[in-house]
Amino acid sequence: MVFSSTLFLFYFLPGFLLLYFLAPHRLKNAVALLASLGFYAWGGLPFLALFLASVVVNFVLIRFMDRAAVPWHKRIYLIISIVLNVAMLFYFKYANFFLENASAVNSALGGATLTWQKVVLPIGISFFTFEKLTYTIDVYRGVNRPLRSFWDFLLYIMLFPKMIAGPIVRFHEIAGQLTDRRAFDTVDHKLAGLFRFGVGLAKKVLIANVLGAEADRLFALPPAELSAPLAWLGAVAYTFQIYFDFSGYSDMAIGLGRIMGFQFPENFNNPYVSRSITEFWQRWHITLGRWMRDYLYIPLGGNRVSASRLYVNLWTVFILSGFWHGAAWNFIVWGAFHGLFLVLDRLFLLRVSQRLGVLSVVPTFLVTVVGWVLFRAESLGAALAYLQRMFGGGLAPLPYFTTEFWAILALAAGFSFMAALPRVERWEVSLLAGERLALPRAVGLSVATAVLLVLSAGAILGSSFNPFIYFRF
Amino acid sequence: MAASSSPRLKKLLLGVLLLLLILPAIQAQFGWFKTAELDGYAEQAPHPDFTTEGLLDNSYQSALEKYVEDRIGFRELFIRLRNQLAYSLFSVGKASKVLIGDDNILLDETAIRAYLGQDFKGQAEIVRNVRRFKAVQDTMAKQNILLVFAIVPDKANYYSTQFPDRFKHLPRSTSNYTAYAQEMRIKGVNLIDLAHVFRQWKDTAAYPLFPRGGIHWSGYGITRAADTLFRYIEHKGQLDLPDFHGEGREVTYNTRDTDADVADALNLLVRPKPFQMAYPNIVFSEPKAGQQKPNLLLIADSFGWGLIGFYPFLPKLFNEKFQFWYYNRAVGPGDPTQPGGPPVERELDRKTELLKQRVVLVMFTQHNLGTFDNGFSASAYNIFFPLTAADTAQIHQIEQKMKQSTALQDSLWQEANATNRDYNELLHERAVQRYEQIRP
Repeated sequence: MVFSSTLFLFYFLPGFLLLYFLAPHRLKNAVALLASLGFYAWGGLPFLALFLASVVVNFVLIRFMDRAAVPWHKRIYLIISIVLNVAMLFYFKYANFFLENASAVNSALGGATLTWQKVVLPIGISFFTFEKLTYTIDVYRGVNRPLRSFWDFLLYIMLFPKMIAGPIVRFHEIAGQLTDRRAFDTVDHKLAGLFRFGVGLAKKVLIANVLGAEADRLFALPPAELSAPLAWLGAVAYTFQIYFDFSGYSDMAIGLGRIMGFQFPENFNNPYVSRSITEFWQRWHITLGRWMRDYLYIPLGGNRVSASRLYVNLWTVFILSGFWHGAAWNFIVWGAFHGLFLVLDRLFLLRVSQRLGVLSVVPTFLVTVVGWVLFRAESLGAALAYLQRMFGGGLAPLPYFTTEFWAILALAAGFSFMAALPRVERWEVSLLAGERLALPRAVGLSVATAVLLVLSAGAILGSSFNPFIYFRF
Repeated sequence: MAASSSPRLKKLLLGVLLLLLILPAIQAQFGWFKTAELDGYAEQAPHPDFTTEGLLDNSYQSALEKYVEDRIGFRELFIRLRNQLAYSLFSVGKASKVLIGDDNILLDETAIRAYLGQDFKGQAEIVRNVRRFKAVQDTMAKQNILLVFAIVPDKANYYSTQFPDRFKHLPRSTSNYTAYAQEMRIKGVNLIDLAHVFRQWKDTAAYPLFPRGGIHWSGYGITRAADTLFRYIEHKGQLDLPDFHGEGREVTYNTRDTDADVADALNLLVRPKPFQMAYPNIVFSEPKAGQQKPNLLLIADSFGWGLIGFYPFLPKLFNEKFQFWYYNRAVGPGDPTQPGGPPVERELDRKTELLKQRVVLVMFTQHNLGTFDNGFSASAYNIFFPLTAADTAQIHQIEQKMKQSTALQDSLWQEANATNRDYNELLHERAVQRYEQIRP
């Protein structure tokens, strides 16, 4: 069930909110957990038992780890937990990829093609695996005590607003709220949360879907039919589609969390105004970047290593990040592409962008556009063919696109770049993150929420084109 | 006072927003508010049957989501709002293939492309089709049956200067219409080119021959076309049809019948303003003593309904049990004078039915000429000129050739499996189709 479906918007969400608001504080977690179990079961019933079993094992292991008196005992439990979680992710997400490649190599060497039963990917596995790992590692590091209640732990992993596509909430960011969130249980938070949800929904259905329809059409064209301008237009349309799609989803998740009294971390901060790829990764999918930093980059040595080792580490982290996004070569190359620019940033690009000032937004944006082609294409070969057209497809006038497409593209660009003005960025922050609402602002946000919900409902019901990109991962 | 009322007001706002979220489900359940139904929308998804397998493979959930989506309360209003915004802000019609031309004239993209010649079928096919039609026409004439082909004007041809900008400067090449009209004239087909006639009337017509928001000819256009068409039939068939004439007319912005069919299909909140339309009051005279109302078979596309639904030309001028083969498929038993609805195939002996008629009127719109007469003359040709032994031998040869193509065999096997049909039967059918393309 996606957030932008009729069933979720008009049945699940209001039904859940009514129950949740009416429930006394001691029962709110139970209501949230039951709703989350139902939410997950709706789309992934065959995996629910396996998923619950993995959570139980994880919880027990961490209990043992916490009680262990000897450090190396703790370490053993840590390793078992990590291995189990990573193995589960590896099996479900990457088995097909490795077998496909092994089969291809075998065929190339004259052997027979391998056959196997394709492994089906459980929804949300990339996200909840990372969250289970943060729990394990945070407890091991002593950042937080383990949760006493298994049900609270299950709720942390399963909380439906963020379970399927993030944000990736590290355990220490939410540990306190899992047991007591009365401080955030105010009408202001609920109104602001609903507004945030409406903004996210509108980003997804009013902007991302419109751009996505054209991007899909252009990426599906045979490369020979793409002139350079048309190929760039497709790539730019996808660039904004993926941003409004994913950040829209994050907005909805953060908004829903806020309505329930949770304070989820921000996941996006106007990434397309970045002046370097390094800055881009501080603004794009922030929770993944932080996860990678805290649980991978720093354990590899962080910044306290030699320059050459640092570059290798950076590249490794980004290649793995690409691989996390999808089990295919184009995702690995996408990660390597970004990793390369991070290395180049440290070598000289950051100095160049400092000299360029605000103008450095342009080359940074163009690099990300090229990167998204690697991300969007169906295969590495298709991505390279598309890129070839972008840089050598020749000039030709653009074919017809509707005024609606151009207007939405302009709107998307406007919303994406306006935060380059510090005043706008401050206004955005105060609008989205304000904790106390004056009455006029509360009225304004409520009206805006109602308008966004109605417009979004029209778009959802009027169009059957409604896929969420990030559900693939 | 203000400080204490503020939380209460905020809670009220929250309550209103929650109500907004829950109202559609309540409306779906109880239907308290009446909303206008959507025009031209697809069938609603049925309620899925619950099965364990369906639950596990997720097909039950997705089917239930579709079921809920199709029935959610205020769905019509939400969709109309979305369509209205697209129409008003971006001049985009959210109905398949509907385009908005100059002066907000609604046009059909398929018809525009046909006008530009983008679906031209090629001269060879046109020559072959016309030759067969003429052969059928001549054969039927010997049985005292008049076969007439009427080319009906389409709106894209009529308003070719008012296309949306992106079509205005596209090159125009030979269209199916121009080629068929020319070939039929050359071959002596009984042709009445109403498209040509409409073009001649365009600058002098007192009222619109095509409506702004409809895709079919207007009620006024039909009365003028009918006058020309039936006079032609009388002349060619040496018939004396019952008379009809106009007695005054109503001039109004309230459109009738199909004069706003596309505007309705846009499903807007506010229907676009139509042209001022005229609806003549047609008076039909009773048949004079000894005057017969001849049998008629009409084979036509949706423009044929205009001669039935707008004004009852066909039941008044011809035998009331006239036949209508909508797109060459016999409309289902019952009242053929009721327009609309999908045609229902019914069993009929085509030869017997054809030979019962006095007039057979084939009537297709310019943009539909890509499929000529939808197979009418091809099947009639086979009736009157059955395959000979030489033809059968040639078909057999084609079958043998087809069997040599692995790709073709694969696709035929796939189709046979998918449609649960016999492979050899399918092969023979394809061979006959190929032969039809070259049959002398």
